[in-house]
Amino acid sequence: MKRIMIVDDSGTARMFVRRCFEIVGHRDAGYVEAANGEEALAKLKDAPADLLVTDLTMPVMDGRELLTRVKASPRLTDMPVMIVTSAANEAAENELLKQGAQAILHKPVNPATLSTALEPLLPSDKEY
Amino acid sequence: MNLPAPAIEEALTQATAGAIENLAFREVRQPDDDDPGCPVYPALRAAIPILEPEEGRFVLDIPPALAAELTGIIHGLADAPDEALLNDTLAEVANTVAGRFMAAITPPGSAFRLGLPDVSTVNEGGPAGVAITLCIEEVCFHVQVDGPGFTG
Repeated sequence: MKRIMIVDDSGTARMFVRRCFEIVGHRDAGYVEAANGEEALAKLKDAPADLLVTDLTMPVMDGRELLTRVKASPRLTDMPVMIVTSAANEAAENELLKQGAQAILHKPVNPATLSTALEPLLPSDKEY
Repeated sequence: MNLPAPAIEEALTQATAGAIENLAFREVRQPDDDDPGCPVYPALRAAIPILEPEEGRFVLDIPPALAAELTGIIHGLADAPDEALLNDTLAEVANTVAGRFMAAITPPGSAFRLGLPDVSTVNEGGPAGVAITLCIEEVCFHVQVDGPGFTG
């Protein structure tokens, strides 16, 4: 079972992202949610996820800091990171990709764009 | 940003319509002559600081009943949402609209940065800025930006 971590301070945003994952074939994944980067790192202490999906603008620890810490950690650095945000344009996206993000999606995410972005990162176990 | 008011208004309209239609599958339209008065207040306000490239503020003022309806659609609720869910959903809708708006008006090669949303109840509109009124069916709501970079 794949383990997908969704990090966003909005419960609504986490629900929306999770629903899109389920629609594109990841209904049986294990979902772990966190409200900010600090909480996410605590939940990743025991094991990395198969995919980390994070917002950028969050209290306590934002998504940029979370990305930096993940990519600096020998234990977590290979974990794919997908940014789902409303707060990015081309300039910011290029910077995030340089920092190690594998994909960047704009809010509100939809199943079609998520499916395309996921293909190289997290192949679906199921036909749908 | 020093954009003319019509350009800001158009960007606000497109950002709002796109976000709400994608999140809640509701069509957003501009008010017409058949929308007398279009009362918005008292309203729930989601305000988001705009931190870069110019300081300002994005504001979404929406009647509570419409906010509850959108929350119900987004979450698939049969009953009325509680206050926490209503506020969280409104904040996320505003965050999505604000991001789309800023992405549309920020010059290529420049980044922008938004702060965290805050939701409150207000009885009247905000200070001078560039504001638009939009409707979902017969219910109107306001979207506004204000601050030094958004005077129009």
